[in-house]
Amino acid sequence: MIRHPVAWCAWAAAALAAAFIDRNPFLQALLLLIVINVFIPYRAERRVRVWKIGLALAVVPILFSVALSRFGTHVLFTLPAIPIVGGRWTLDAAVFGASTGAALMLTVAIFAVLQTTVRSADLVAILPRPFYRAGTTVALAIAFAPKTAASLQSIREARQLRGQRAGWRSAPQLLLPLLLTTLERGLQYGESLDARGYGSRRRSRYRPVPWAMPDLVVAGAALVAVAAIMLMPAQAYNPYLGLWPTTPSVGSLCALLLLAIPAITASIVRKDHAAHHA
Amino acid sequence: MAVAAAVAWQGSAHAQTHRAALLIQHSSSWPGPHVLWKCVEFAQEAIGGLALLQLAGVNSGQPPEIYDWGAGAYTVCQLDRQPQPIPDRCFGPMSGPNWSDWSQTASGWVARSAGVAGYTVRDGDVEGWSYSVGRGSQPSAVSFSQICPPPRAPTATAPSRNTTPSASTVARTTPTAEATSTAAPSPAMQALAPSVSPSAGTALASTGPPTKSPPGALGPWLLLVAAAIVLTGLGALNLRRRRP
Repeated sequence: MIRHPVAWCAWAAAALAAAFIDRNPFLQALLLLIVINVFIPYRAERRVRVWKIGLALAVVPILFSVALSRFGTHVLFTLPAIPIVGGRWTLDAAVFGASTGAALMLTVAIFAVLQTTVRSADLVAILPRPFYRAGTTVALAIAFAPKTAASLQSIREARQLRGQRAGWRSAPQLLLPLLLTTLERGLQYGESLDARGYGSRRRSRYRPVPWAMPDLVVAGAALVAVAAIMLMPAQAYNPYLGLWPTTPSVGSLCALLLLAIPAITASIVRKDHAAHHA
Repeated sequence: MAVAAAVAWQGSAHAQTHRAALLIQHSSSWPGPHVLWKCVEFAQEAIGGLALLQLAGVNSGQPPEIYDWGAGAYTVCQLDRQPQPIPDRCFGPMSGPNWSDWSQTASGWVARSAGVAGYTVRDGDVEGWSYSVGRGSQPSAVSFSQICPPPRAPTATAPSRNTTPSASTVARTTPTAEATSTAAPSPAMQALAPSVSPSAGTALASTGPPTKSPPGALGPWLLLVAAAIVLTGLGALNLRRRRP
């Protein structure tokens, strides 16, 4: 199991570079397969909802591109001269939108992996000293958002149990309890920070994450992959020039396969005794 | 018989020279000649739109000024020195005048929807460029034979001058061909070869960019399929391991 946040950040940087630079559909499909494979052994018990966002981000560019772009030679149908959507709707435009959507979906998937594998506390712990306090504040603020959403949900459920309406009109009546709950939680956070010595000029380290062999291997492979992707010619894809993509180069394929190492190490190495953190 | 074969080969070699007509139409405010005609000769079956402009040398012998959008897409900024100077980022203001690309079909001029690198020109095609505002106005009507007139006396002047000496060369080499069996015909062909490069245009065209990349090897596909199978198997394994 890869634990170190720096190894994961290197992996995510390499995967993002591949997603942004190489637009060849075969490479995109392979990268998506790799990211899903890395996600499976590391996923937490709770369900992850981001796949809906990823799917929406993949579909919306197709709709925009096919409805607004008039270029391309493979005409699907022709609409009469209606202001924005009139004219020739082409397959090329739809494929271009799909290519862009795939890159966006890959981005969401990579960040989903990062979200499940890296704790914000681990990230804050490795920040250099000048950024430590700012990092702690940002980490707290990020942790605040889902908690606030959860308390809004519980307040709405409590109202529904009492037989009150739960539509948009009840928003003002929801706001006050939500504000009170959030303030209460803010005070709790402040007290706990105070108890842990935040604000005294020393920084505490609680169970630092060590570099293990798999972490080093993953980080090294990610660096090699980033260098290879940057140095090799970009595997571009422009459906307006040719619908059928070019053959991906062996070098780019190998660079992508380096990113599958976290999935392989997780499959070979048995889970360690420490409970996997979510 | 060797002479007949040589003449037939000569004929087919001559047919390999293809011609396309190019029309450059400036805006009405242009001080110089308003419309430019170029008949471009090339050796390949088809050449790209950019190669056509390069072969025509329409930018006073310089390659046309282009703007690279990435991924092999180009836009033409300057032809025959218009506009002078080239605006910022090729177009300047979005509503400014620009070069629009047209191809002649049976029903008149049709605007090209692909960029200058996105289409090919074949023998007998007429390609038009007009400098105008917005989506562009059609170039003036023209026919292929106006720009590329047929040779004044077809196969009478240049080709016949080429054929006669080479034919005599072949005739002279035939006896040796019979004497030394199979080795002789190839020198005869080599003797013919220099006489079939008619113009500088063809020579330039043959060094031009290739129109299509060669088909890829099997290696990347095998690697891709193998990686996909292994990764799918690994994913299924991890899904099952997690369940109990």
